[in-house]
Amino acid sequence: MRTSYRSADWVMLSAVVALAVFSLFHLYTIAFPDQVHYFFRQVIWVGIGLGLLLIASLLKIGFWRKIAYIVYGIVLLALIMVLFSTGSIHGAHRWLKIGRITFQPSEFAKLALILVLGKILANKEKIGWSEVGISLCFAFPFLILVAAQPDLGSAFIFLFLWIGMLFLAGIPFKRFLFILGTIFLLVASSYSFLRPYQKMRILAFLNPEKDPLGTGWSILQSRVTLGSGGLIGKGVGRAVHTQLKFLSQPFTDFIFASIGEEWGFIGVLIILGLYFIIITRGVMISKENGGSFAGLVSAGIIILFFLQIFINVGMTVGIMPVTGLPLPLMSYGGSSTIMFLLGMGMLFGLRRRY
Amino acid sequence: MKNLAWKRDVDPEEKFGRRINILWVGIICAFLLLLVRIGWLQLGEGERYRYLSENFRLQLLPLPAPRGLILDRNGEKLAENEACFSVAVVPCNVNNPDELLNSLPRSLHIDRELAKRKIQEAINPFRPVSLIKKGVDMSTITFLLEREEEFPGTVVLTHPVRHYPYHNIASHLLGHIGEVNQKELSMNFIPGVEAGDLVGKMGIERVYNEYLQGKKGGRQIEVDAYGRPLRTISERDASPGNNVYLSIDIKLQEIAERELGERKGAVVIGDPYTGKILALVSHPNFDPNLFARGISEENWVRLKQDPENPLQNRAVRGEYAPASTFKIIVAAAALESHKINEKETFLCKGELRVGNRIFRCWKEGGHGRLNLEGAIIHSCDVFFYQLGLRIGVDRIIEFAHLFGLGRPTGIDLVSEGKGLLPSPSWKLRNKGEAWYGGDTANLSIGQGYILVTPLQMLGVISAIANGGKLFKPYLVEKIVDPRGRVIKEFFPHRVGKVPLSPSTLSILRRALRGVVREGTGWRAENKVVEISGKTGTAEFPGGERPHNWFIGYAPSDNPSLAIVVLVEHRKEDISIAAEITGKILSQWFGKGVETTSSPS
Repeated sequence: MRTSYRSADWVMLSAVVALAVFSLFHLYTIAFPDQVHYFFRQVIWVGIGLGLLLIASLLKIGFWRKIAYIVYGIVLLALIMVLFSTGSIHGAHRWLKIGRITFQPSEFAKLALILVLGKILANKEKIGWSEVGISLCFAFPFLILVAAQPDLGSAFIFLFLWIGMLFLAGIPFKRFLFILGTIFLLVASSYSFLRPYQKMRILAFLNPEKDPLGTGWSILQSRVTLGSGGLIGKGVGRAVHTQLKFLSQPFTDFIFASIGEEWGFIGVLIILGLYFIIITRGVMISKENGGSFAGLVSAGIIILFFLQIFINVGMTVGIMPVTGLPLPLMSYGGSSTIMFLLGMGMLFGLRRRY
Repeated sequence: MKNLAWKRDVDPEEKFGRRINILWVGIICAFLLLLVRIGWLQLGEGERYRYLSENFRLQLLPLPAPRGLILDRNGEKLAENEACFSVAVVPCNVNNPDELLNSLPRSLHIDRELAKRKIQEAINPFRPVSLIKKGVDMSTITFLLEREEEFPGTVVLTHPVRHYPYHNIASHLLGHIGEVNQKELSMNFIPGVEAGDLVGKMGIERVYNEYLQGKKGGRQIEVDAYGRPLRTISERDASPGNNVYLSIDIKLQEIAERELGERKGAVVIGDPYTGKILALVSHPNFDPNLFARGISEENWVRLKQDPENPLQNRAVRGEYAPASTFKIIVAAAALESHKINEKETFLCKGELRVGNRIFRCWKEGGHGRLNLEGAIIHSCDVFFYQLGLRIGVDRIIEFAHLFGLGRPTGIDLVSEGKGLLPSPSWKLRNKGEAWYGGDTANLSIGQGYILVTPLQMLGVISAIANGGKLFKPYLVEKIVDPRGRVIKEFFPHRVGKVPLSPSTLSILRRALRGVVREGTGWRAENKVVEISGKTGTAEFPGGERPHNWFIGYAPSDNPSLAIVVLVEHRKEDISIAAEITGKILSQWFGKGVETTSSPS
């Protein structure tokens, strides 16, 4: 048993490092030559992230359990400060500046919520209404604060994390369906209270094809970029469509389209394969830890990892709304990169020690 | 039964494992879904997308939204849209910008350098870049359309252009539009507005931009090698902006503009019972049509650097000493404090010593003995020096504040002036000096430090006309969507109350009528309508020409209009503001007599 775990970890670690290295290489090829500074910054962030990954994998599970509430408190404070921060990018307040460093507290909030939910829901004989209520009290403030930024994509991530972890913690099936139904009714009824212009914004958000100038154009371009890669791609450094800046946000939101253009269907298969290896290993680690804190937290990280992959790639290929959620370990951006590498480190540290 | 029992006794570890398996299966399905979709895009449609991508066969045509109309209270259009042709090029279809630009007809007046830069620096190379600002005549358009193939990458676009049929009339209140700037783009995130779009920059166009803007549409098209559309990929129609109905009556506005003539100054006319503004004139003015297609550098510099400052709205932003019009407030304060009655008189010998300074009356030799009514009618300064000193600076300031001075009125226009209401503590803070009796004397006749805007004075005179109520002035009655549904309506909003007893009101109103009938405002007297009001002449120590005021209301016995006329540095040596008031109101009420039933 023990040796098979050891090997499992190395497979996963290799997949993570392979993705990180590939992301840097790919970023370099599409940023070269006039935007190489993005590459250099990303190198620093990946470096910091890998360092944190190493540290996190050495820490014992009890450590995370102990600091869960403290981390939650700090992130909550940061999220409140973000709302009052001056300066916005594309009309949204998402960044917090401390000294010369800016970061996105909403990214770290995702890990913080996983830790707190793990602590509340772990090792429960039965998930009753009180557990549902308490866990909601922790998830709800994050959801509201992030939705107000406005960052609806991340707000939905919090909602799904809460639902997913309740499910895994063993909430009775009827109760689970009841909660899903309630959420559906709440969302539907709050929609009817919105003002017409708010409705229009939400409709544009859900159905960007109706907005051919804005997000609709990004989506068309994203499809053309990805599709034009064909089976084997246009080749290293030949992602013409990306480089000519036809693709909007090529380093962050739509990085996957540029991967498809440059590396083709084969490249895409490899990337998705690496993601799938990480998820499968994560699921195994989680399973071995059962319904404990370690099991729930590792499952939470996997849910988060999967959701962001699915939403981001889904957006790129036009089956999900445009949300601006980064692609884990691929998209340019310090907060997201560091958060996911730290999360991967936690997964390693969470293995059961015999 | 057996099954149920098994469920109840299930090991939590096993249950967790089962649930995570469910999750895992879900994840596998999701990955398969993505793979199928990506496979379809890259393998199934790959050839087509590669063709589109490599031959630049996609274009994005924006369909600009017509701005909402601005109409006066009777539905007369003050700002509308005209269809206009322009010529644009799609940067990705141009191989050699120089060659193309040189081949295009001269009648387009293209700035070649600018156009070349625009083509090369285009953010979205699929999207047409406009080459010209002015409209193009039909013959040039036909010429271009007939020889489409000679000008690859060129497209002719139709778009709405703002048009102000009354040109300079009401320019300050309508405002103008202009290209959205970086600050506006980042600050208030107007949905759908992007660089290069035109947004309201001033006046109603700016304050109600959100409603007027409309929503841009767009069309994604596939084109052939000549840039001719083959197929529409996706399309959304533009939705026009909402229409804004003003409380302004353009006929009254025109009369007021005409009578103010070429003089610098302002005229504001409002409904004393609601705060609705019926006319708002500021002169010198400008033609907002200059801005409609993006103003030329030359015109902009000319407007911006004009020492007369034609872009400034003097009616709401200009700050002037109220001069003798302020005596109304001093008189009201004195009567309400019971510091004087109708009968008491002061002696005017043409001057008064306060401390060690001599304060003069405007009338050499003096007015003799006068009661309050006489002092208002003849605007006696010496009377008001004494009255002001008697009631004290604090009481005067208190009443001035009650009448709305010293703070913005809150009208729906931007950068309103708030004037200046001095006080002993203000003077100590800002001038480092104590407040002297001489300052109170000066303040009593509206001179010295005090500054007011014409719009604030409209509130003052309206309060006398309506019995002491202070309303927030407003310009928009309602906003109506393109289908005719009212989406927002505006109602009078009372913001204050001046405590004026019936006896105070009747004394003041009698005196104000007297001003026009037999006093300093006699030039406003006419055969059509009885006007009440007060003149004011703001003198300057340096011998500069004085500003001239008239604030009043009409008809005297049942006021339906309040009016403020200000002439900056008057050229005539007469009470020109009163004369202008008389001309405006007699025409307005005279017209009413002719057409409909008498407004009185």
